[in-house]
Amino acid sequence: MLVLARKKNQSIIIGDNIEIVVVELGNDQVKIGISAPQNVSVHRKEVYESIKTEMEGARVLPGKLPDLSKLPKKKPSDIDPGPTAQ
Amino acid sequence: MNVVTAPFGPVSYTDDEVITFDEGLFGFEHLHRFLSVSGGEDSMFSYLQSIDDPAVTFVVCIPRNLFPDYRLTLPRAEAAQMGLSEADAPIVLGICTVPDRVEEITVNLLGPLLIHPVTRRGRQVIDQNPQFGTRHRVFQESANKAAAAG
Repeated sequence: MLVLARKKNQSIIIGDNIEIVVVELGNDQVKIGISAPQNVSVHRKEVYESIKTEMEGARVLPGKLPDLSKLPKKKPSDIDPGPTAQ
Repeated sequence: MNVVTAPFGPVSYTDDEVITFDEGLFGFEHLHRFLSVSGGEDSMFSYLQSIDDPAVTFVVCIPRNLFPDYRLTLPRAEAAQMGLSEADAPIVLGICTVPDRVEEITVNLLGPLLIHPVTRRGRQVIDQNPQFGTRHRVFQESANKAAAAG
């Protein structure tokens, strides 16, 4: 891994269109600003990882299709709460 | 066209039924094309079946149908990136995890799927102001009662 030392307000350019800037330095936390094209996803890693882990567990295993008919069915009241929803 | 899926056998589909995730799904970045398969008459759940890998299937639901107060918060850039506007409200799907006791089904409300209603292009997003996490129980009290009743 490339390791670079940066001071507050200094930044790093990745490629020609991603910029990472150190916005604030604290005791055990830094605030980082990221400018990237809209098609580049930027996520906190632990949040991304928790969703990814859940996705792996959610996958229906071959031969183990769950019997959804055991679950409660749609009632008209379930489908659309209507304009009363805030 | 036809795809021979692991759980459903052959499924025929037309191009306009395909839901395309350009970036794939988290952990499944290599899978781009999916089909929606009914979960049965009147079911609140359906299946999301990969075309690219016939062995990848998820159970999904529309969170708003289950939780009327459910709100998804996204950065504006994310909605713009998908070409969504006020007129094109996205279809929001939650991926469900179904344990052996199916009534204990949970839904991932931290990382839902957004699908453009016209283009059927989709993207998995992270809720910026999540009310619920990756394992939100769908049936709270009713599930316990049903289990107690046998």
